[in-house]
Amino acid sequence: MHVKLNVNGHDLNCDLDPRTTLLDALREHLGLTGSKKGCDQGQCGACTVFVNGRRINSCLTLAVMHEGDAVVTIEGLGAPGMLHPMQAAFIEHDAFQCGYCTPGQICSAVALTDEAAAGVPSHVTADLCAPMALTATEIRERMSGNICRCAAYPNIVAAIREVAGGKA
Amino acid sequence: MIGAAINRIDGPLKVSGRAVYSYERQEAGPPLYGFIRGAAIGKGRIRHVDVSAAETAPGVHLVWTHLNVPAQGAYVPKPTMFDRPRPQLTSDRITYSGEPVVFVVAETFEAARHAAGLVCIDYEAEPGVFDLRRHADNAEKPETLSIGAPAEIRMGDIDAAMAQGPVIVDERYDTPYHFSQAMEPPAALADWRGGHLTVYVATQMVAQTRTAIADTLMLDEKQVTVDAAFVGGGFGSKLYLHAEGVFAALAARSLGRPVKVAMTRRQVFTLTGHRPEMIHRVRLAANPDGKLTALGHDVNMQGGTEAGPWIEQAATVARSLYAAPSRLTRHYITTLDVKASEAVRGPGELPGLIAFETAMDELAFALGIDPVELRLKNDTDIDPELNIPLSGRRLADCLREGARQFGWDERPRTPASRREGRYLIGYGMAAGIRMHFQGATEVSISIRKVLAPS
Amino acid sequence: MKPFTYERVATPGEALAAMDRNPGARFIAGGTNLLDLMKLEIEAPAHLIDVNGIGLDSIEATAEGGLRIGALVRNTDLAAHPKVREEYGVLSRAIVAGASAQLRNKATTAGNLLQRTRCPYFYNTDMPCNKRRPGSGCAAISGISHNHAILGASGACIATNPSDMAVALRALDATVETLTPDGAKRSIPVADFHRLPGDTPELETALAPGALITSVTLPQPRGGVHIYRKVRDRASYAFANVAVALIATVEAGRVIVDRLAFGGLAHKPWRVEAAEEVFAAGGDAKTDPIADLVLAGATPTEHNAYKLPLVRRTLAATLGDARKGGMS
Repeated sequence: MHVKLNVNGHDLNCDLDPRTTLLDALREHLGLTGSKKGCDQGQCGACTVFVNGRRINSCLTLAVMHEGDAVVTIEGLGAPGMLHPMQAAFIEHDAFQCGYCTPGQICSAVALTDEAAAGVPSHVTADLCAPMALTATEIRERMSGNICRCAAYPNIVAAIREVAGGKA
Repeated sequence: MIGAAINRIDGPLKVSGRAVYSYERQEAGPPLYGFIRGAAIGKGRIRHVDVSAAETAPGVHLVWTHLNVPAQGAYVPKPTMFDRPRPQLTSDRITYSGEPVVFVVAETFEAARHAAGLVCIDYEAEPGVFDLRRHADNAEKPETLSIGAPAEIRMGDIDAAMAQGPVIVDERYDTPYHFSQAMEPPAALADWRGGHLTVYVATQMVAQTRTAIADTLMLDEKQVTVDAAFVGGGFGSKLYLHAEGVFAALAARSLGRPVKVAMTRRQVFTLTGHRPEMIHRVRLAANPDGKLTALGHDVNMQGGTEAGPWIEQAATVARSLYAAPSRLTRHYITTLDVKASEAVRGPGELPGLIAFETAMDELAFALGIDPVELRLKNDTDIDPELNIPLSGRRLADCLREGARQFGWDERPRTPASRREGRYLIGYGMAAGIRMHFQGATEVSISIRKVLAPS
Repeated sequence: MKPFTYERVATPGEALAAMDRNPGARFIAGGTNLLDLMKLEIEAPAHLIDVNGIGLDSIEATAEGGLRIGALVRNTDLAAHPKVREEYGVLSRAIVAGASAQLRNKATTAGNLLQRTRCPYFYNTDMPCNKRRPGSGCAAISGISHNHAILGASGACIATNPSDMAVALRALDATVETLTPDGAKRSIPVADFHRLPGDTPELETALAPGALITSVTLPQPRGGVHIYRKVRDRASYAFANVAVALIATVEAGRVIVDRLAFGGLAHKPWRVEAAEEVFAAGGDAKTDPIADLVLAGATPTEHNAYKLPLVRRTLAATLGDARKGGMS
């Protein structure tokens, strides 16, 4: 099937088997290998990308379903020399080791600040109807869909607090 | 530079998605996709296999089973371990659940995955033994451990010491399976061109993997290059060559096209090894002042099929940690019909320390002695078994400094006596020890002048 | 994944027509459960009908003073909606207790209701399973059943329904609005939506084949304290071992149970109206009489018998939270 995907601001045309996930379209057909396949079943978050401004697991959606949607990947957030503040914070706080979960972590980290600002509650939010603060507990809960086996979690939280702290 | 806090030099690449891992390498050009399918039974054999639907499925380039896989070098249980050949699909026998039975290469990942499921396999299942606890009596004692140390060391008379006491601990501890499960599933991309094989593979042991691939494919090592620029975690699971590396290499050579293969997350449980399950028995005898008169650690670990036994050095911790006149440490292995174990972060000493140091803790409680004091009392400046002076030993310093930093003296003395909100707060401590391999090392450094971009 | 054809439709009518033309098709919206199952070929539709563009994605007041939630409202948006947070708080709590943010952003109201069990034997196509292949047997009954059903199970199947949202909807007396293949409207109370396995575990819901869920309606808000308490093997991103949805009023320190439903116990949210009616006339909620009614007829296995005392303790803790005004 022919699919036109808008990825990181560019319209890209591909001819895809309908079974191709958005993740595999990015990695195998569009040369964008920054989003990672950790489990291919929505359980690790390494494949997290933005679709129309929202973070989703790109392994659990089909590329053909996203014609007309705006997709942003880790490559679109920033590049060496022009890093997004969250990417820079991850370096400063040593929030990674092997780096395989890192793109997904960063996409989630950027997304959660928007979600909290938009009033989306989390499991640990004490009062559903009161303004929310992005405490470390909130950050951990909102990042719970991203796994890191190198256990960089404390540094990931520190990086996010630096960038998002004081917001929402 | 030494001692300065510098950021990881590969940081900008990793945080921007520009670090390229094995499955993502582009140098070889557009690859074909391989997919492994594992056995549906735990033990038995393949009675009949029909590949016709898979072979004729769209986009399929090859379908291998034990009937038609290319010849490979035989498995050799080399003591150097990580350079052992790992031939695949070697017979109709299934020796562990998930053992590869089919390998497919196709134009796309989706086509390969689907075609692998189109192969019809008729199994003949056999009863097997899978449970360490139920079959612990079938344990065997090897001569040596995989690291070369003796499986048993005996000194003095532990039975007499235990009978004398006066304070003894004789406890059993069970430690579980663990899986490394790095975030990057093991993956390889192989490129055969002009008689030379380049394999981009997630490996922790580049040189040994090269030897293992060469020997499996019956090539000269000079014909093989292994490139592992970025690896997404290993923790032991990427020490050995595994099925995905072998299949990618074989298929690239057979087809003359680059081929890449990644394990699914589920396959990482069955196609890489795991920390073996263990049953430990720790015996300690001490005088009322805390001096140990005997220490003993028996460990029975699960052994598996395929790739030879992996016998971890779990009971060796007792050999170096504390002084005591009577000592007995023994390792046993109970072979089960499961995948052979492999090293998982902290192999050997980690599960051994859990058992041994827990027993020491229980001894401290039985003696009414501070657990830190108990360790200090049994510290030693000479190796307790080789009877030679240690060139350095700072366990006591670590214990004292740790106690100071953690406010050990202010700890709650009674279990479950301190509560903070929903949590019960307790303090604990344990000593740690691990052997390390030491050998001659070669380092080469080259300096290249890099022109600044104009 | 088996090959399939794919089309997008723009209206509910087109969706039904497309389903009518393609026997064996599936609607796909969020796809977070369907695609997972398709990769394992547990679901293998020949045709996918993408309904993401058919609207049905708003939350509106009903004439009766309740709420109509479009089938395609994303879980995140449902949990975050001001009216839901203020007046149907147990629903917000239940939704954010489930899955991960990424999944909640994609999953829809209807999809969440239709999600299938996560029984590991259902998920392993090398194992017998009466849902996947009726008559082949149930590997869970003689296998590891740590998180399987203790209520409503049968000799054919002991799977649970994994949805947190459904438990809250059950407590809220929600109704599932559907369009049957011929375009007629049909309402299914959420109480009747999920089926117990009986002899036909492959029949999971009361939804007619080829029907389309259009919305979920909630009656007027009931007020009171709303709590969703979930006990699971991890602190986050794991399915419930036991979950409690409670709506209660608190008067002078006494908790009066209004609505009570449980998750993690059966192939549907478990609600025993008799347990609520005991306290309708007044008096304070006491754990054991309620739990006795809820657990009547329980058939635990060796591995999941822990759920019985866990239900009691979780219920007691939830009632305690209610007494304190809902904070846990």
